[in-house]
Amino acid sequence: MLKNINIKSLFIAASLLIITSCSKDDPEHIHEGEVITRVTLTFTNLADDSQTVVVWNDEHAGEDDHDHDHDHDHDEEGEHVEIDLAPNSTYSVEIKFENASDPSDVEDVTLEVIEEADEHQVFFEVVDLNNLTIESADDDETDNEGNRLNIKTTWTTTAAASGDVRAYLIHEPNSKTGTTRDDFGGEVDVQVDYEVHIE
Amino acid sequence: MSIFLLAAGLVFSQECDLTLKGKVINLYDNTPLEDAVIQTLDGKYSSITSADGSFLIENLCRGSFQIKISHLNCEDFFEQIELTESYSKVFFIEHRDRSLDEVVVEDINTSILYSTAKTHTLSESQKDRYGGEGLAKAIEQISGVNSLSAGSGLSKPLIHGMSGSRVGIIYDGMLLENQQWGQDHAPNVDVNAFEKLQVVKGTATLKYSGDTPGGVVILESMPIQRIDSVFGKTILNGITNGKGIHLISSWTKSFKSGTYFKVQGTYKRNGDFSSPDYILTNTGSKGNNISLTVGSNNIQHKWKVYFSYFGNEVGILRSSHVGNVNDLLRSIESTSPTIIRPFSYEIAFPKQSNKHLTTNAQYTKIFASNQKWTVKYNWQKNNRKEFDIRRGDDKNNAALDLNLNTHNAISNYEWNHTLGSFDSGVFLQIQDNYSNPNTGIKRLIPDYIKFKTGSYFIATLRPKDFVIGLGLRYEHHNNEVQKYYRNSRWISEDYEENLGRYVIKEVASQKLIKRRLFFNTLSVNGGIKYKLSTDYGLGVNYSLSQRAPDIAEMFSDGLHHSLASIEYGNPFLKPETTQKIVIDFEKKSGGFTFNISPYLTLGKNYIIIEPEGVEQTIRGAFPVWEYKSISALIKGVDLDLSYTFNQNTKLQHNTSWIKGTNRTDNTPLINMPPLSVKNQIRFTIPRWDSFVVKVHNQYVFNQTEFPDNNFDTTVVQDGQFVIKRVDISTPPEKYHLIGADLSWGPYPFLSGKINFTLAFDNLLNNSYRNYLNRMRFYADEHGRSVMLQIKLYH
Repeated sequence: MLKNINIKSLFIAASLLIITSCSKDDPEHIHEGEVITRVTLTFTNLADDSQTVVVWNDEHAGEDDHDHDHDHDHDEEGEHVEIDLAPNSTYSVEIKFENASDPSDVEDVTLEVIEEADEHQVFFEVVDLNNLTIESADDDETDNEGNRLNIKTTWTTTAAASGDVRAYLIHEPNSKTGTTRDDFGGEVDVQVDYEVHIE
Repeated sequence: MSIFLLAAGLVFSQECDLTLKGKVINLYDNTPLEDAVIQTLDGKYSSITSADGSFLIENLCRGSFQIKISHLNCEDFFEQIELTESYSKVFFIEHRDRSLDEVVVEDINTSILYSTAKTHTLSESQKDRYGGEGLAKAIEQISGVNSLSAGSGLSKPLIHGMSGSRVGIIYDGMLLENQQWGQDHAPNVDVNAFEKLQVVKGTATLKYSGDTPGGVVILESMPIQRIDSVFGKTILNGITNGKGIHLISSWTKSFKSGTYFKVQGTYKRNGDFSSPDYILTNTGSKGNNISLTVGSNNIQHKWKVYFSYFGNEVGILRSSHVGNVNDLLRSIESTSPTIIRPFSYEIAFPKQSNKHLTTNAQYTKIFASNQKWTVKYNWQKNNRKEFDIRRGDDKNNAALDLNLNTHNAISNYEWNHTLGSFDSGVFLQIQDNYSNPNTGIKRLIPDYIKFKTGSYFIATLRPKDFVIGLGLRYEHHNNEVQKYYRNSRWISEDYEENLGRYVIKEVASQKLIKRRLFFNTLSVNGGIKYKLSTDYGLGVNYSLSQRAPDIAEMFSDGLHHSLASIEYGNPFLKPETTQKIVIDFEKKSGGFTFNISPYLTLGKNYIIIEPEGVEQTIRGAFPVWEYKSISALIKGVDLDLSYTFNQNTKLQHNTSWIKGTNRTDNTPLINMPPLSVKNQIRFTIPRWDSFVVKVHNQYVFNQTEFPDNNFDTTVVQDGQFVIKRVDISTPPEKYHLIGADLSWGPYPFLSGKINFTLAFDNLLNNSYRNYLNRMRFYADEHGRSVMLQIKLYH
């Protein structure tokens, strides 16, 4: 008898709870406002003002881009995008970070980086390539201490050669100057590799 | 001061012809105390308790007088007695006997519910010693119990190599429901709100959960007796390392009518901790807890309403927030953290904050012949926020914001029969998880709603010299999960075939699925406890438990900043079945006592997370970790020895060894505690009875059994690409820690008592790293710390 009482009472409670909490609403889609999915390097050859654009798309965070992603190459060094440069030339290079996770609303994250210049640093690390030097441009963006951010850089080539460039966007670096990645500390927001051909 | 009395009166009219009759019982294990001295303060009358704890004082006069109950190395217990008629009382006193109090592992035979499994109860001093540092830290004193952590203040219990949802935390008779999937998820409960802290290694009782083969941690309040009284306890801790303070206080007001109120509060605050060589930047934390209980205990019915709020904010070591695997590699290769700043109380990013609100209402009707019917409703509202280092508008926005609402309803019926004791119940749970979309980061855990119903039956039979326990629990789970999958993941995993029919919406290259999942789980346990002789006992407990996969194990999806890894759930997991056998062979009395406890766990469809390749992102290549089912075998042994040299010196020893194997891949299981040996020697000085010295050490060996989850990454070194191995597998070196506790008291203070303890941790200031702490990649553990604890009983 007692057991009947307690089972009955529980079923009353149970049915009340079920009635009051049915199915949930569809969760809303989250727009990831903070991610960077695309890095674009715009090369301007100072000799003839001709422009070349090199795009690095994140395959995973971005669009369903398996079909139209032609830029990436995979080899034993991982994934990279190719850059072709002429020998003995000087290029003005501008880096742009974008959030293209929603293709109808591409955001330019570079503006945020410049706004928070003290907490960011762009760094290009040249790998196995002596014939290329990268320096920050005179019209580069600077932080409050006057350190150049490397948003705008000047790339100077000499004789024909091949090698790599690794580009970083570093968040909250410990140091704003340096010659290797380790010198900067902080955390990587972007780390992309380019295979550079000077030919 | 947890003292209570059970009173029953008898009427006698003659003066100086009254008797005071009673029993003195150890509050902690309900055992009678022999040789306790009961005297009236005027010294005219006295009596000594016999082996069953009883005493009798005759020829007392009508009137008011004070009695004192003292027992060898016990706290003196005073009681004002208004004698108008003869009295019969049961005195529960806090027993501080050398031979009992300091056994790390104490046996409790009181509860019929889990009587065949060995219950390890922390003594009051053990609980108070580490209570300020959280639940996991406190129960680490028990052999076979470790904590899995992600830095200071973020520890979760690891019992017999299992943690997370395989370990149940039961508070006020309810299973704690918080986000328990991550290594950095400490249980959202304050141990200081409860007087009793017990651990059972294994499936103790199927009353609260059936899916916790690791073990259960049981937090309980002491029952409040029907007397007019106000009592309480206040603890104040000051800690040098981290410059921390803990204030813990509880007050109880009880009435003769059976009604009572209890209020308890905890406040904790600390700044950055330090290792021997540097400050652990951003490891400050603050926490608070408040709980209120109102209830009434009557002969035929009881009711209780419990409300509690737990809140904390914990800083996470700044240098553990890494952007990619190269950053991780740099941290591993560096001997000290990459970011060290001066000491601060500031809790900056990264950090987490947790809030847990509990409302409990229960009513018990007590029938003749000790039948009890209890109905209970419980509501737990949990919010967890994690904050990362972020950019732009999202800078101060949480990266994870989960709201978990759980409603429980239970009807429980207990009865006794000549055959034994029985306990049964039916329950219903509804749980709703809502992931706040305003984080601007895709959901790590999807939105879901969980229905769980089931029932349990527990029988305890007591033929001569035996206790036999049997339990059965059935659960039906009905979960509705709504999750967004990225198209890239959907395609690479070929989800279309199996999950395509659940897609309800496609938006911005993501698919929303709505999927209903059903699981039926059955858990069975059986145990036997046999008294071999007056000294020796043998217990064998077997359990078969089924656990439905966690939502996190099936659907988690996101980036882990502290390990630079991407974590994916496996949507095709099946319930895991674990069989466990625990043997306890013990000698419980005499100068030399021991407990040898070997155990064996066999897991089928045992769910683990392992690296499954590499995902190329714009931050470089990330290792991908994915949940999967394997066949697991965990075996180990816990050994507790205690030797009393003489009245003033006692030695204790604990050894824990464990080995876990992934039998599918024939590799060791990750995060298995290394062999650990603990010793403690305790002395008192004759004629200076209220001074106790304890010296303890712990030797933790190097873990040599671990899975190789290392991977390669390319770094630029001297202008060249170099392939380097990121060693996230190799456990740190062995270490040795020494500590000491000096304690004075209790001394009379105002109307109560006061006790002082000076506790030293890592006395030698050794630098070491702990395999079970995820922060081991970034920094050393804490250096020397001294804590002053002032305890007031009022």
